[in-house]
Amino acid sequence: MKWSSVAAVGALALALSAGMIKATSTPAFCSRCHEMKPEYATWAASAHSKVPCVKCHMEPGAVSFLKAKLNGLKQVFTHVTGGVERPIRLPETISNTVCEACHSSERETTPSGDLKIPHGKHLENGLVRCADCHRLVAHAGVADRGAVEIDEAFLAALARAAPKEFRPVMPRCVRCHFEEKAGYRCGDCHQGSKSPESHPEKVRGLESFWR
Amino acid sequence: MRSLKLRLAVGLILAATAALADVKYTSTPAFCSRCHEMKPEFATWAASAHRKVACVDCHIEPGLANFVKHKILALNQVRQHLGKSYRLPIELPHPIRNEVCLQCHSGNREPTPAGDIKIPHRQHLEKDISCVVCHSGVAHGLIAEREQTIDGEFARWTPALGRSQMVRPYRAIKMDGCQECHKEEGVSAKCETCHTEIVKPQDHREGTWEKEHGPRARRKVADCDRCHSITSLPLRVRAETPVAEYARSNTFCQTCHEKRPPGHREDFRQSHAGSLGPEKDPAPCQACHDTRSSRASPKAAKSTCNQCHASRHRFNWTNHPVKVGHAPKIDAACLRCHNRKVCGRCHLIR
Repeated sequence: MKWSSVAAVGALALALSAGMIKATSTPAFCSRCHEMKPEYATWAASAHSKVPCVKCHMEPGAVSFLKAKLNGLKQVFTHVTGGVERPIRLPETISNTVCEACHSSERETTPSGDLKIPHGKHLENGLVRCADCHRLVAHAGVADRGAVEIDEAFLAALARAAPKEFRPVMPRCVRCHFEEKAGYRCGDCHQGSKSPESHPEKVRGLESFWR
Repeated sequence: MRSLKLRLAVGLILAATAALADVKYTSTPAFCSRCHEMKPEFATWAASAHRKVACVDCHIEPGLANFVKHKILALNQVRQHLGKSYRLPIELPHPIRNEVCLQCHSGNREPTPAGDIKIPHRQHLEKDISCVVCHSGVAHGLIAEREQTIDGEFARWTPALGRSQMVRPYRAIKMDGCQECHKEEGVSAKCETCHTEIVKPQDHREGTWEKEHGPRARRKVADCDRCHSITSLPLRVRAETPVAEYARSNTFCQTCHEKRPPGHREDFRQSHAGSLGPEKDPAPCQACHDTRSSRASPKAAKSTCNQCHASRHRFNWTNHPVKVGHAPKIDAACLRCHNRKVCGRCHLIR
């Protein structure tokens, strides 16, 4: 009698916690806290709109999962006590492991226009992380914009500008190339662009900007 | 009594856990590839852009009901495997539905076609064209359709072979596929409909090029092939290929050449001598018309000059034992002495 009730309570508790874990892992749950609205709205407009928050914001594996769930409890506390600092920033850059759970190196990358971006070279020796370039891909840098309230106007502007707002931007390429002493002449990344004849040799490329 | 209940409870929990683990394990690509008849599919998938997506994510439709249904139906596959009663090549029973693709692929992502091609995906989706009409090669390089698996030699499917079957021409839709559909649906198949950077060469002027391109092609068909090679299927055209054969096999040329030219008006049979020019060069006609159709150019309009023109035989007709009229038809009587093959070069023999 005693045993069976213990078993029943145990099974019920298991089922309940499994259900809870499932429910608290959906984007719908994340967006219930108002401080996540900017992240939710931008994500919903992004190319990653079919990938739930936890897929990127938790490292793969059971240990990371448990850690994240415990951390989640802390977030609930901060939320309830009203101590959330805004805009909310990512504590650390998303790791390549997370991206590579879905993205396969077998896919040929397809940079737009005349750009050539050798992804293999960037990934060598862990020099550049995916998120170093693709940091805008899911939330269009909503924290950097300082957008804490999402209104119709913001969403409309985003929809108009998308998908440009989610793409890597050239100044970021150039800064890194300059720091790492990689090529930063137009032709190093662009296949089609040529400096006009009138431009003296010295000005071609971007040396003049950085001197 | 108590211990019986306890045992039952423990047994039940164990059974449930085992069943769950079973369902989980039988849903991994590692499990699918354990059957040797799946080796080709596994090898190609492992070399594909979808290698991080499990087989069941595409091959079972979303939803719990579909999952359960599939797991039950899969028992039949086990039976076929054990009894070797599967049919070769192993093919998809029905095309993958958009619903499956759209579980991961978001409409928010702007597609990035290669080169200067523009492919408005939304417009295609609005016309109810399913993703796999174009993207059917994405996961397995169409190995079943290309009869790569029909031999049943599954053991030969190494990762290297899988990789060799996933090169771009097998993965991606070919331009002929685009054009076929565009033509069927009455959508423009002009270069600029899909390409943003293809510019017509200077001499391809509207109005005059129709007349000029023939002589130019006869001078050097290789020049045409520099751009138009992409539309030659299935015949590979080389520089030494006769221009007529080129025009008949190239799908771009066929767009016009398979139609009756606008110049061939109703009275063309009577008037066409005038359009041949003073040299009476039959070369322009021979782009389409030929005395025979060969395997190399099945599109030839089989016709002989002699269908209308009676020509003269070199020997002296007056010596012929039988009186022959001005334009004789070849019949059984002629063939008692003459050779069907020789006469057939000029005469149409029914």
